[in-house]
Amino acid sequence: MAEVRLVYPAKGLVAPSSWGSKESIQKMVDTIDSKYGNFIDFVAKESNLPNKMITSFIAVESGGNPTAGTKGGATQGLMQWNRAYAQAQLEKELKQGRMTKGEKDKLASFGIKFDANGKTRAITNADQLKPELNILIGSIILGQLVDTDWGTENGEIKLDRIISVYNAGAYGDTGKKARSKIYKTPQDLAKVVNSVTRAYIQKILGVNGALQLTKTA
Amino acid sequence: MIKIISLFANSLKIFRMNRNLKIAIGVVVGVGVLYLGYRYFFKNSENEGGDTTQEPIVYDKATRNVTLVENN
Repeated sequence: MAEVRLVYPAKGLVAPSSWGSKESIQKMVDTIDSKYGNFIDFVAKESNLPNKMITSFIAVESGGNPTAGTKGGATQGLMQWNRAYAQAQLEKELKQGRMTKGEKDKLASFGIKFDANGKTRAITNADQLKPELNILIGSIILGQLVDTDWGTENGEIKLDRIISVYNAGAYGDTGKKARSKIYKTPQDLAKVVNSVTRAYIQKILGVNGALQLTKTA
Repeated sequence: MIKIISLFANSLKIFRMNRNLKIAIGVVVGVGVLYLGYRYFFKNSENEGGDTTQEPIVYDKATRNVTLVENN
């Protein structure tokens, strides 16, 4: 077993007041857990990620609204991943032998199967709008980010870096800083990333943020 | 002063340019200004390239065991 820690909330960070009061954030994560808790339990078990980490990303990305985002847009749905990117990441997950039988069977139940070359069909906007499928694909993407050499360091999940790359991509200015491993604490990284990503880090890792307020483990 | 500006403009041949050329230069400058404005106002919210397909995966998902640590 590879033991890793996820430490929260981050010192020096507070969930921005513009995101809502502690009570309203609490209500939002509770609602997400009550509506999608079964799905989250399933994907958390398959991906070996904490339930509350997945709930937190749903909270920030969509507030628990399965149709969040521009109608028909590239990144619609609960976890707001990009369709073309998701397809590539699913193929990568399979190719690297990381995809569990449970994940593969669940994807197949949505018509997402893999051919002999490990290729799958295009992910559609209709796929993005299915809560269970959206959460499953989002958890697979998050798992891949966790398992990079910058996503986990010295036995600790570097969620600030993962948030930055999930939000802003790997190869822009913010992504490069997140992957550089120069910034050792969430507070340090939050100072140098773009303002949207900074708020994202604060919303998840800050005091009274989604990780702290989500009741499930 | 006006004479100096006039001489300078004449030396650049700005006022003797073909009308269509002036319009073309105006369009190019206008597009440039709009682009710089976009970069200035929206840079902080633009997606910087979501692809992470080439990021090497170095840890094993199957054996990962996460312990949550509340940092009080």
